[in-house]
Amino acid sequence: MRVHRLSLLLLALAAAGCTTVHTDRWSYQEPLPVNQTELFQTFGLPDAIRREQGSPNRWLRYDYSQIRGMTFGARYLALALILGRQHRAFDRLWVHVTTDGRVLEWQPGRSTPQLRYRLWPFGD
Amino acid sequence: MTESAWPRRVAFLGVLLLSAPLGCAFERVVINEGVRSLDPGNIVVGRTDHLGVLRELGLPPPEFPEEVGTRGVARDYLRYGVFESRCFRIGFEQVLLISPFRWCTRFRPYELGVAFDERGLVTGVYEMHRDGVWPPFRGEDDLPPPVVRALQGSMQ
Repeated sequence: MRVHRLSLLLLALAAAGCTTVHTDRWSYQEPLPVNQTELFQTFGLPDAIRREQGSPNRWLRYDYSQIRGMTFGARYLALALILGRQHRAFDRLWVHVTTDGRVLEWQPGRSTPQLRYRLWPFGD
Repeated sequence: MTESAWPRRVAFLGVLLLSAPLGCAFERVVINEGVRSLDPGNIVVGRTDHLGVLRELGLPPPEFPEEVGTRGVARDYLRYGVFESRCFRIGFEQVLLISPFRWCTRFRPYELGVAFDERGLVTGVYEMHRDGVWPPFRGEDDLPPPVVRALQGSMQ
């Protein structure tokens, strides 16, 4: 009976499930789009557009989010033990575009690559 | 560990493996499906203003119902998006293990965007179609780029 309980516990630990959620992605890749047409064809429509004060130029905003994590646990009669941890990363890319559609500047957040998957749920 | 314990353990593992397909779940949620039927045909570049677009298409619907009425209307760009989430899950609840094994993707399969100039007049109406990750183990890198076309105005 003790062996059975031990194997149940080991299986519960081994059955670590991973959870991943991500939204539309953009990636900082070469070559970068040089005009708005290429930008739309590569990354799609922006999440928002902001106009500069006193300038006809625009800033196009692209958002990206990613969630990774894991949960595992076991149930025995009315008792349940569940351990879980999630990591979330949000990134935002701003692209400066002129009125005639030329891309002037890029401001990538580059925070998404910092998201690392960690199996241990209690921190580093 | 006795020799007689092994067949029992193998049987238990077998039950675990066999029960996994029984616990598979595919979930698909589509939000703002009605956006696909919006008709921007009466919007004219350089003539229709911000208020005219709102009269024609209504307020841009939020991604989550709880956001209704909590956000201001953007001045430079209105986004009417269909949001979709697809999830795949494996559960071992039959053998008392809680193991979500959950893979989800959220994306915008269709979107209508209206851009304005500094005077508040429409400069372009665009629509976008985008594919999502499916089946669940397909990589994001395998996705084709989004298809964007200008319904009014130019892509520039």
